[in-house]
Amino acid sequence: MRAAAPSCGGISDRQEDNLLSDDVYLKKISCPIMFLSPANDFHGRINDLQTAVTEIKSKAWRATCSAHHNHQDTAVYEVATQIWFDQYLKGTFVCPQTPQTELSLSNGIPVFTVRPDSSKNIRSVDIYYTQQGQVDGLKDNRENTKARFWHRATPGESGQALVAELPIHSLDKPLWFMPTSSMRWMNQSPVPGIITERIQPISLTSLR
Amino acid sequence: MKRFWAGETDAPDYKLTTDWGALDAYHAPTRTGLNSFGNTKPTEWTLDPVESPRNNQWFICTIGARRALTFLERQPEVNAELLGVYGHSMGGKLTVLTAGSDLIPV
Repeated sequence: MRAAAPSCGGISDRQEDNLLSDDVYLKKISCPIMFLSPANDFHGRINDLQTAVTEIKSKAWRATCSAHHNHQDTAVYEVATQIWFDQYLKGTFVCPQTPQTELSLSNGIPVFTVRPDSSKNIRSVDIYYTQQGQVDGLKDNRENTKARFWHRATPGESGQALVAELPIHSLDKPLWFMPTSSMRWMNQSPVPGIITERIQPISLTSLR
Repeated sequence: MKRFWAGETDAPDYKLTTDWGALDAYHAPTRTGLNSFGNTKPTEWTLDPVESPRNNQWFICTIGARRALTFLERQPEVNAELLGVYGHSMGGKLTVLTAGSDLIPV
């Protein structure tokens, strides 16, 4: 098989000494893979996504993570499956690179810098961040699963980069954040010579 | 599911579902009543009479997905080099299990 796109599963079922555990298979995956992982999913949990992308053999991977969604995606995110298969099965699309990101502190306020791949027409970039995360990744707290609240920050332009302040109440808790780029792209129409714009934008996420 | 397993086609709430024959590859409910995550114990609906990963429902579903790929590869109108797998929820796990066993012919 040439490409895979698991949605809301395949990353969190981890059991010791079990050959059907997700990590056993993730470590053998060498094909391009797109993870569709809503940020508040109870099943394919975002806590496990960063582990999953370090386990796979494939260097060709992307993730799309919808803030506040539990066990389903909306079209802006779901369409990532189609463009992934357009690229690796049909050869008609090239997915943007994962945005380069940087976090710093300025007078106690986290400042997040994003440098998105500008090869596609970027409609918007949003930064979602939360302090309702759990470092141990356990499912024993609803705020670490389905009820996690994500703040949204819209960055402003600063030279070639986009920069946003992420105001938080306390520096005592870990900060979890994910930049999500929403892009529109021009696509060749079925009618030769006519270029149309696809109706749906796509949202890709950078993991940090 | 229980109506289907019992063949009660005249029952008003009878619904057609995947027929796994003598095997239990169902998720919930399962024929064994055991949780499909992690169970490897033998029952009358499992492949092996001893504790084995092949007794787990996910193993059987993954074999099913791999056979679906093999079926597609053999169709003249299909480019066997350009097959992809997508699945949601249980299908997301199944996508990972299928992609992670890609070098194993079935």
